Amino acid sequence: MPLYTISTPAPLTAQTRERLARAVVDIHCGLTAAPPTFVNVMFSHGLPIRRHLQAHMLANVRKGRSASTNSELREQMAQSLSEILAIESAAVEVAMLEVPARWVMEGGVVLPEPGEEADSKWGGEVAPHPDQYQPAAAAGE
Amino acid sequence: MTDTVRVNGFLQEGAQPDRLVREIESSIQSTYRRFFGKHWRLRYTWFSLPPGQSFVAGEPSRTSTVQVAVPDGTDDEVRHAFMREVCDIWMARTGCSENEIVLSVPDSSYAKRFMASNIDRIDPRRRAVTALRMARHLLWSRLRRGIAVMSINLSRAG
Repeated sequence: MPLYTISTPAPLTAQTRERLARAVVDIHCGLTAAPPTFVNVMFSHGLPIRRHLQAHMLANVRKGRSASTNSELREQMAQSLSEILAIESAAVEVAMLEVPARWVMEGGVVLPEPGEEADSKWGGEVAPHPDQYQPAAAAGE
Repeated sequence: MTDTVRVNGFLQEGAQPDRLVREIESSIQSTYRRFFGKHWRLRYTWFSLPPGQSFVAGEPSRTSTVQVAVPDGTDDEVRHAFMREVCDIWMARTGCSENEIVLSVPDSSYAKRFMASNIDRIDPRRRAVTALRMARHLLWSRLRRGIAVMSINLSRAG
């Protein structure tokens, strides 16, 4: 958790999937300071998504973040999908579902609430504060 | 009277033999009944993830993701004990590490919203046909393999 599912009508290349997966990690961790270790991304194709769409993302994220953070998450994810897939922003939709952290077990422990990662036994390293976070792209990867 | 709970899971393609998945289904079913009552029946749907279609931390992933809904308002103590047992079953049967299983145990009402969000992305005019197509794949799989499994990619769901 989070779990991002990206659906497209046709298969994406392996390179595009890798690029998108890394972009999702960069955006999610950059905005939320969550540990990258547990940012899950899945891809599916062949589902007849709504006709005006060329890409759909369903984001399952922990509940407890501000509406503005979630709104920014959706916006940046949509922009990244649009850029990497080279499609118009109107052809991209990002839907979000928030799930209470205490309903999810990952790495053998119940997930901590957003912002409480450092105090938990959650196995991942906590990402730097958003102000200090350096996305992979910016780091020259 | 029997109540039904949907269990949805994403498995790495070919990672778990069908026999093992059937054993896991049976174990989780028994555990669920012990925690929540003997009137519950679990209905499983598995989606297989071909190589290169799942990532964690931007790298290829071997993680399985499972969602088992529980009655609304289930106490956290009960929920967490159930989660622990299901994770233990999964790791004992598959030999995976605790980092390779993500278990979500939401209230039933959330699970319904999750399902509705998945359906909402589908073209409304093709929802009925898509549902029938998926049901056919899952029924055929159930008859042939003993588990209801289909690819996450509908175009190669068979």
